[in-house]
Amino acid sequence: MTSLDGPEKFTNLVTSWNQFDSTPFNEWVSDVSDNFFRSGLTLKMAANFLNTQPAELQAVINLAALEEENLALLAQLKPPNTTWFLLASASTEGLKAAIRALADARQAHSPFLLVDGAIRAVEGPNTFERIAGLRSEIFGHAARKAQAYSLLNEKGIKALKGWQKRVRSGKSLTPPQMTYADGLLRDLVEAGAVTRNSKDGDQEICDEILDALGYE
Amino acid sequence: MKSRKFDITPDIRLLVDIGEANYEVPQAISELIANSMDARFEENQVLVDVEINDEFISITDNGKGMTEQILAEALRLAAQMDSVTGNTKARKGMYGLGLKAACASLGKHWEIVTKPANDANQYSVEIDLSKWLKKRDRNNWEVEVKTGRHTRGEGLIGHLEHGTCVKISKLKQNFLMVTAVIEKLGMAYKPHLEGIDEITVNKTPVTPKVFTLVENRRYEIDIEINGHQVTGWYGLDTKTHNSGDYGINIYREKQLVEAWNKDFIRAHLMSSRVVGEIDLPFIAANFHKLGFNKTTEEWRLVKKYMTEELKPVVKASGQMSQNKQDNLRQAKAIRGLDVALGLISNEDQDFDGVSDTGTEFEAPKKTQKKPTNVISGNYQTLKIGEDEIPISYVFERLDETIPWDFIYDEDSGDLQAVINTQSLVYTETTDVELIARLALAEAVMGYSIKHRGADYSKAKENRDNWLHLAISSRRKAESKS
Repeated sequence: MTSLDGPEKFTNLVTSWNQFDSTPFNEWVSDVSDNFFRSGLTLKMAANFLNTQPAELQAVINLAALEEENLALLAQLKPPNTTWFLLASASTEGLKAAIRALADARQAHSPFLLVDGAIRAVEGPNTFERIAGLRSEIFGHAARKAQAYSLLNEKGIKALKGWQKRVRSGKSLTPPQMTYADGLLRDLVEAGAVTRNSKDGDQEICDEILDALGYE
Repeated sequence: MKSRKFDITPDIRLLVDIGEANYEVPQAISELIANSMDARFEENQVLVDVEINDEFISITDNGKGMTEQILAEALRLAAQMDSVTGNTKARKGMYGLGLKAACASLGKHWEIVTKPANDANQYSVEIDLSKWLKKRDRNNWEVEVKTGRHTRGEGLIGHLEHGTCVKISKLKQNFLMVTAVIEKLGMAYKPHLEGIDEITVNKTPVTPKVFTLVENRRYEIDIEINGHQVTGWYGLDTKTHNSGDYGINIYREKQLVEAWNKDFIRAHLMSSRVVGEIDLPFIAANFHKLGFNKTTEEWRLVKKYMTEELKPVVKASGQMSQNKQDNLRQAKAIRGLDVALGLISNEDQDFDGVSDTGTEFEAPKKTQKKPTNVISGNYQTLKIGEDEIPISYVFERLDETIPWDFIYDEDSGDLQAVINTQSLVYTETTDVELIARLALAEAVMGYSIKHRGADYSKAKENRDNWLHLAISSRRKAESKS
């Protein structure tokens, strides 16, 4: 009953989307996100109506989840859309650094890389980079532990063993491998194989994994 | 000045047209049950029996029944029933339209049989809208009320001492979802069902909707707004709701008028744990009781106060969604909410022996920051003609059927591939490096078509060339290392 019926649910969304130029950015983000959730449309359907890519609409929705105060920091700025995902996951300090960087460099070759650099400079390594910094034996141990606890599929275990060799030979994980490793290690944590109170005599390794993943 | 008087009796078609109200079947049945609840006999329990099949829908109650005159008045559009019945209590009925609008939206043939207490007779009316429309006199609004002796155990009233049965046949919809009706009534009449009243649908008892709340915590609402009391509760659901089934259910005189209202919160997946119920007896519902009249000053004030009241719980809902790597996020969100509401002090927070000096409402520490699922890579620059397009990629969560997508910034010429970590293509493949290259190649193709106006074959050529380069550079890099 609260979702709108009839054409209103589309027109409200389209109207708010089209007000990008005339509305402060933070208000525009809130309005679009609000109208999207009220419309009951799927991401793909809504993106079709708006003649945009689903990823761009998702980035707006992610931005709308920022704390109001943080979103308000973006009021006077219309950041390039390729920076929206980065901004949506940044801390308050990261956001401020990104805004400064965008204001200083009006014509960056790639706004995405500019903002990425500014946020990283303030926030330090992110989860994936911390994972990339793990020692080789940690990946091997994680693979053995997954086998012992009957966790992960064959591909996952193979990947962990592969990364053990890769890191031992001096190579670092590629960004896509970091993301995959994040998912695998998180599965081990959620299944209870990696904990702060390990009874398997591997507390140091467990702690390193948990620290890298950002667990307390 | 001359004047003439005109008869503006509406055309009889209005009785049919009123059925074009925006009622779905469960809502129409709910509206008819509102009359049953209003017709409570003395202080007795109201029993409502709903029967639904392919042929008809009937709603039978043990209310006080109607006399011949009241039955006739009940069929009048916009009848002022209180002046007819002498009722002084608050009722769900407001405009004298519910019975007719609900019946007309369900079907074309209505039969209403009623028996008042201490009356040996029963009174009945039959209306067939097909025949009704064939009347020659378009101003003829007469209905025929039949009076007959009630034989116990027979007819629509059956064994009831008093009560009313509304039976609608020649149904507009033949495919009726009984489960949807049961679910709707469980929410619509929750306050009644939690009390003494009972509703059955095809002999199945309707149970009041149960909320599954985090730590079973309900926060009471009891605020005075302009001399009116707003009462109710809110809490955090244990799950998020992508379906839109979250927000505040608003009741008026124990009848649900607006389900999952989101006027007090931001409609967002992050707020989708916020649920609650409030009673607003002092705000008028709209004609079909499918919402409130939101143009009044009272509503504006309710919105203002409720928005403020719900701020801490909205914040807690967002925090529970964000800090997924924190095993204590649920407990922290609740404690943070308690602190914000002044129910406990900061010092009282304790999570099973794990001390935590900061409250959930402080800025998160760097190491506890919400998990970023953004990871970037700068592959190379795409050269098309004279143009050099910087390409990057991020890993993000999108609709699971989308393997990857792209974003292009026209002002700076920045092209970005977005790889969906929820898609099967991602979760079922170990070579994420390859996925990233494929996604970038697709971004090149999408960009070529959408932003450079290339036809499919040219865009495909751009994609293939770029993919070839990307894969060969990967091989070279691997052989070097």
